[in-house]
Amino acid sequence: MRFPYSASLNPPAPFLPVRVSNLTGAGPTSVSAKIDTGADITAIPAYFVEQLDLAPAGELVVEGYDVQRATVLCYDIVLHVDRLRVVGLSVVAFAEDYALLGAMCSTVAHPAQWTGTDDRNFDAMKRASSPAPDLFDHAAQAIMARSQPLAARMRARSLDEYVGQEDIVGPGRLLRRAIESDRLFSSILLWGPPARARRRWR
Amino acid sequence: MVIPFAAYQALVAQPQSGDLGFEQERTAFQRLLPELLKTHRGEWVAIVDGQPVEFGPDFSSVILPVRQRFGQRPVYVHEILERPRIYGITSPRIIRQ
Repeated sequence: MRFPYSASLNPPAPFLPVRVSNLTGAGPTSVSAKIDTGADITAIPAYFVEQLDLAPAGELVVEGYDVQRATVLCYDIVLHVDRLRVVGLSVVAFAEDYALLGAMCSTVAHPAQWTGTDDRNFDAMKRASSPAPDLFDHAAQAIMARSQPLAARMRARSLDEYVGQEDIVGPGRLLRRAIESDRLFSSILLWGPPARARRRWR
Repeated sequence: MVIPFAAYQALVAQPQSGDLGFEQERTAFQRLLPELLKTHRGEWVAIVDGQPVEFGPDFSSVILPVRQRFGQRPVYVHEILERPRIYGITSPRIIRQ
């Protein structure tokens, strides 16, 4: 699928049309969705909650540039992208008229959640998201791992894999000691020019 | 990224849904959390009518059977951790042209 960046926003952002329904199949309602792999969670317009009769399914702590840290309700939806869909995706509601597709959309715990069928049978939905792994799931996971962006594949998984910044994460230094003793501060302000991997510390 | 557990407790103590049933499920989760941490740490749990009814490795594996059994009613699905996971919405501010 190829979709042009939307020039109606500054900076221009990738958008694509999606449909959202609840788990009983009510809807689906179409909406334009901004792809944002920098976001950890998917968000839908707040008015969808009433429109799709979504019931609260829990709460999540969210924060971001435009969102001060807060606990917000989350909902479960079925997200349709072209002929694919992800079932039982947790989302939050926000005050925009577009949806925001966060990284969890492409890294749902179970790849089989992505299915090409378009029936609304609940049993089929449940089968599609069965947690029992099999050979094909393993293959799908391997494909997903290979298709991750380079930055995701090369991201340091531990402090020992982190290169540079020895004065703060080297052996015996402040941040390493805090992490290793599980005594991290409630917040850390990292300052520096772009492309210094500040976000990798999240 | 983590926040102090006390700060989390203060956050979740704020009623937000306006739904009495949901608030009761949340209260039940807070009450059950110490015991759940001993037996299901790191898993997800669904609380319905004040009781844990489903456990699973992720949100979707828990919510699907719960919706099948209980339909579209408020339930409380949460990860069993001492400190809540924090989800970033780090999208840059968007200016409509």
